[in-house]
Amino acid sequence: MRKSFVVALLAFAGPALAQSNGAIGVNAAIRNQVSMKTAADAAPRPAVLRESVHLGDAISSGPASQLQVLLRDRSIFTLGANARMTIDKFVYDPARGTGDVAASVAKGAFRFMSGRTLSRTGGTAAVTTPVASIGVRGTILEGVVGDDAIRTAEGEQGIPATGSDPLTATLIVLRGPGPRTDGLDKPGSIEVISGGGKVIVDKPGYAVFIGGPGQAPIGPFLVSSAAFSKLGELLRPPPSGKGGDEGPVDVQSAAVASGEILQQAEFSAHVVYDPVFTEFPVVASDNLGVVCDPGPGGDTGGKFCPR
Amino acid sequence: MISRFAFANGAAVGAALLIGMPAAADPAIYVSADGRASVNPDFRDSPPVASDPDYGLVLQAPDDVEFTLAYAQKRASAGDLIGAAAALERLLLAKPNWHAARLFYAAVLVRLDDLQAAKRELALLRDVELTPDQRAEVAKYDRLASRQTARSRISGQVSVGFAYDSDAVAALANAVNLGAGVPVSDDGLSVVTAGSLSAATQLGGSAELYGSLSALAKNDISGPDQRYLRADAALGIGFALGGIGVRAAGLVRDVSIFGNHYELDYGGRLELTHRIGTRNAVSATIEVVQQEYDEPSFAFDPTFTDGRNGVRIDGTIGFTTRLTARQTIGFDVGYEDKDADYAPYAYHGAHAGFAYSALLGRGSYLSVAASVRDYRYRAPDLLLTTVKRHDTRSFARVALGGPLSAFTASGSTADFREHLILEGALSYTRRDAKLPYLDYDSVGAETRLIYRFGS
Repeated sequence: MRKSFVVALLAFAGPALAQSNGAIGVNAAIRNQVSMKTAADAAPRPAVLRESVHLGDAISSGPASQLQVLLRDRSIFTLGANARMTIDKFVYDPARGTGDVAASVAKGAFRFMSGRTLSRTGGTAAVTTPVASIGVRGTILEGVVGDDAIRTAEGEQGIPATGSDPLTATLIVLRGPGPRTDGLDKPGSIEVISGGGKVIVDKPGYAVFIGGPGQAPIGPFLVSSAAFSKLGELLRPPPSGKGGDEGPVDVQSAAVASGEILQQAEFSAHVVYDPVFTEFPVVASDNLGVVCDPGPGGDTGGKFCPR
Repeated sequence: MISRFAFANGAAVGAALLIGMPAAADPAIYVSADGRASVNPDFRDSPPVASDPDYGLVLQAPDDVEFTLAYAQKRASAGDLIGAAAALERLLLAKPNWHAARLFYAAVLVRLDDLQAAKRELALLRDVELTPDQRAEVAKYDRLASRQTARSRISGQVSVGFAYDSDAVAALANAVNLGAGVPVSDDGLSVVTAGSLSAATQLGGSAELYGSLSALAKNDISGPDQRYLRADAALGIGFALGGIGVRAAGLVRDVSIFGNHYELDYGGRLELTHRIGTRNAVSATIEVVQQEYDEPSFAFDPTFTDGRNGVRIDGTIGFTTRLTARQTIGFDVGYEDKDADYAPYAYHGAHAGFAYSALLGRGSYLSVAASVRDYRYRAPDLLLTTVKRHDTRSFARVALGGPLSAFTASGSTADFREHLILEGALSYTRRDAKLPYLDYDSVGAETRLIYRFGS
């Protein structure tokens, strides 16, 4: 499989990537117990920071463990606790900015963040679990497979209390960007296929649950904060204890560091970000400012009057 | 040769030297066969990504703390919130007790409109030890996240400022069409106060009921009489229709000048907005109002006291694009037609506008706007001249502003200073008329203090 990938890589990417030894990504962050098994390994061994990830490498994690893998196309996989994942397909053409990514998750929690390459050019990303196939269009999704999926979805709207398979049950949640994002990434959507059924999710916070093999997807339903917290615990470690900040580097205030665009977005010309209008947050601004450019009838003038 | 699977404790220093970046603290790191830490050679020749030129460095040393933090800030500023969030998740996987990084992450999630995730991170920060500034920021982002999910919202602003006009009467004449007389060219200083309030509540589905009130008063301090008072009110509904945002409202507008009532407008406005991705938006607006004038103090001849009364129709289409996450440019063109009981007061003509705004950091901004309007009157005013009036009115304004918090050491205060904005502006107003005595130009300068509330 790796050989075929390298051929594909060479065909698409040219000589620069020919020197890359077929690496499609890198281990970017590791917490606690994470193992890898590559084609060169006889058995799984601990994953290493900055180590290359190749097509077909099998990655697994233990309890309270996480791994983040960065791919060349800027897609990002986070593997949560008690998980097993393999990246099955990776095609990337940096010149054209196109590509395809596919991964399979056999167990545990995961998070996939689509690279802007995929968002912009219509490239495809897919994640498969034992019971579902998820097509991703430029967005962030989280999921969990197995008994953690059943525990996370327990009590959620429309989820049956029994009948789910603890090995293959799958919960998929769409995250941001939402419709009111003020970033440049488009809000995306996911398509979940299982048991002959298909569900499209295009609202952040909505989820789909598949109880087991052959079962149709249930949803989309708005995932509760409690369920989201359970999923978050598998993917993102909380602070340990109640102590002070142990950061090694000073950080600017969050407002400054994050670009404070929320606060000032409405100065964006005559069409502004207006969170009041939830479905279409970009609307024409009102002229609420000083006297400027009025028409001869004393009207409020053009749209460009400052506020 | 590089050994891919070796471990080394504290070997990050070598890696940092190799790539010219500070050391990462994580002990498990890629090392060469001789035991020295190394960047991953598989990514040394990564082709540059146009939209993210630093990504090649990220692939080589994704665990470098200082670099990753700087990278996250850069991506957030560039509007790449997914890239910023991923970088911060990386830091938090390694340093879950880095509260400042978690707060930064929550702010990015709010901007990403992943409010559930943002609230989760903010909740995790409630039980840990934070500085007062951090605590204030947690509360601020918690409010922001909650407001965005609220069914009803209210926001507004009040401002007070001083304005200088090199030709104050002409500037006012441009506002209320006093052009029948010969403007007196005289400079003047005035105080300008303004306020606005807008509110919206969801009606169910994607429909909303919204309303707005605004008022502006200009009063002279020196120079000629410049008293001007305008009030606007609108009430309408907004809803989504096949990918287009629709707003329809009834509106009332009232203007007084020199202490006398001058004009009342009432009618409606329809706004259509279509967002194309996250960068572009097109809009179309049509406003139809009946204008009723009450101008005995200004009429050239009392016989024609109500001569300006009539229907005014204005249609405008606009296009706005975000050049970057921090720069936006917009254009619009339109056409208006004003009927009047006395034909010489009726006019029609095209108008065009341009606007550019840039966020400069710490909440400060640069705003540039310009417009030109062409007015062709339908008939000559035979009481004055046999020439049909034809005006071209131009306006330009450059403003620089920023919240008071921008002047503090941290650049952010999470209190009223973030809502109190100081703005300075220069403007130029000009009218070129076919009747030379109506020509004028005026240079203006103003400074305002603006308080904004809600969001």
